[in-house]
Amino acid sequence: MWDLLIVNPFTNILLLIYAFVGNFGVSIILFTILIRLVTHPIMAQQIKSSAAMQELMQSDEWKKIQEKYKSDKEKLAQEQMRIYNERGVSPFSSCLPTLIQFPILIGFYQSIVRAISASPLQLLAVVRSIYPGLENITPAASLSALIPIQSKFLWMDLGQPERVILSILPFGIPVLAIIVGLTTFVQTKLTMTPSASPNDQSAQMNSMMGIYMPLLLFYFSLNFASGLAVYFIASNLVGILQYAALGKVNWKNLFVFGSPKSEKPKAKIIKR
Amino acid sequence: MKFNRVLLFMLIAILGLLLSACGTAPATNWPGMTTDGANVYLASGSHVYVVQLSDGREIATQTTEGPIPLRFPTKADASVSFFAAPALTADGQVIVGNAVHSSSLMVAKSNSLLYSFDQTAGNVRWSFGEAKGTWMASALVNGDTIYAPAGDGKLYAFDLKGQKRWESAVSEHALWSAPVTDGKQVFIATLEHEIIALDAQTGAQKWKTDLDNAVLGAPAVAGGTLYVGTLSGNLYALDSAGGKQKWVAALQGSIWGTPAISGETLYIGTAVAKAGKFYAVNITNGKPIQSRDEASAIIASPLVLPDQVVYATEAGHIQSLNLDGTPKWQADLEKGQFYTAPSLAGDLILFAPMQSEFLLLAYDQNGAQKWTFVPGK
Repeated sequence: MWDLLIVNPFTNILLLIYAFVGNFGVSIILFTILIRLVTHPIMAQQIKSSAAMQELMQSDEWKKIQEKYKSDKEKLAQEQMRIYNERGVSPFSSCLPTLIQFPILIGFYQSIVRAISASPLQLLAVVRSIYPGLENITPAASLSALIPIQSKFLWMDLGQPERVILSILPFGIPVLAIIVGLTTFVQTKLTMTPSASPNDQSAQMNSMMGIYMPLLLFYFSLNFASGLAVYFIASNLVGILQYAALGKVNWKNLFVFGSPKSEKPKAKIIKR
Repeated sequence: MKFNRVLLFMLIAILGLLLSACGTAPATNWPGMTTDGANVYLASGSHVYVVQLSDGREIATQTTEGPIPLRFPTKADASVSFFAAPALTADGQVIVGNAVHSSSLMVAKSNSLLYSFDQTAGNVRWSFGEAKGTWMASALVNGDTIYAPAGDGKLYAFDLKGQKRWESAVSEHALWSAPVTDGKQVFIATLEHEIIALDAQTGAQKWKTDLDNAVLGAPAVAGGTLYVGTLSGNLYALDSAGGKQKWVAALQGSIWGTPAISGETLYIGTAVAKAGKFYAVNITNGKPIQSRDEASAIIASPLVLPDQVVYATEAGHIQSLNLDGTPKWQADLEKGQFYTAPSLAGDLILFAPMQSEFLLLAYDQNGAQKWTFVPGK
């Protein structure tokens, strides 16, 4: 079912793009842009929801109930739900779009690995997943024209983890993985939501995401097919452009250590 | 706060696990096997196993800690796999290449290696690590020369000491099919739709013929003609002297294996989506003599014996036919798939399934199962 609904359609779209452009690396980049465009409304909704949540958490009313019911968790939860309802904000609406993107990420990765086919057994899976009607769109999408997939892109083999080998060094340099780590770090910093206080939960979560995600994606790029790293880089760069188009990129964040602070004046906490 | 941190870390770890589990880089492929009349050498997963034909048990080797199974390598490395059927030399070497999944930062200039190990002791005699990419196809031993198709698209020739005699870049893609020879020329099929003939002594290209699609199976050579099938299902007969096409037969489905020859008949199976078809084709003109439908695809090459032809389907069905096409015997695996060609070893017919509890199955020529092989710990 997963193959039928996600991996096979993704593989066919990827191969169709490849049939038109003749370069698998460019196909990955174009497909990444396509996926980003298709999921743009979801992402815009996520940004909107995050901003609404952020605004809510910086409100005096929110801070008041945090202070007031700090020793009564049940009452605090009730009050939080009341405020969510009153303001029409769902605490899950900023998470849901991210969750929707996970299957896309996994399915896309599987389709890249499948299409590149590092062995006869994997090629068998590709041959079986190509839609019969694909070659009607363009003769370049026929089985004989598609196979073998040209997996070389710039200096790398998209089916293998990437390393740049220098004769003076006993090890390979994972250039692509480093670029993935850097672009993920930059994207996380640029798109981080400012918080009222560096000590609040969202600020610390943002700060941790800024560390964990670049490391995680660096690790993936180090070990997995470099086609995935191309996807990560393209996705990060397009993501930054999308945030910029929505006016949500804060370039000053790049030079701020930890979680950026909100430019809003701090709300007074009323103690009783 | 501490809880949130742990939760976030766990979420990221789960994402990592999902990505890792759902199709990571490691190439997987079906096992390969070769026999020498006494033992079968099976490349499967992390080892090359040496199994006695007499009883299906692993050969043991003596160590200071007592007898242990003769496996190569002795200790399994999860990041290394063996897929290609090992090749045997007259002086007791087993030639086999590996596929390395690991990609640590300290990666050497080449991950995968072609090994020669001792047939009886299991120790490495020599190795070759200049070729990039995985060793997916079997080497060919002809006299004192080893011809090894590599993941970098080159065919390498070595002497028996592992000294490189020549190399020839025949494809921009990895070589997935074994070379064959008529003594003077070496023939290699490529994913780039080509059959290439090289001078066996020098590696110089003699001729090259374009076909209609990728070629996965090695050509069969007989009487000055090469017989080879493509993914489009076209079965070609090519003149081995110059590569000129003698005939082409359009079969239904795609051809993944090497045709088997018995007298004036060629046998080959095809994959028609998930179903299969088995053909007997006239060797002189390519006209199909008979065909037989199968519920499952036929990926593995068939095996011809003096009185029968045997093939195995992807779904685990073994079918033996008399040479007139009538069924002789059949067997079915409860669980498992066949992609590896059956092999004749003495009186036994060997099968190496995938996704099965057994790594090897041995049948006599009347279809009676003689033994199965499950590696011990």
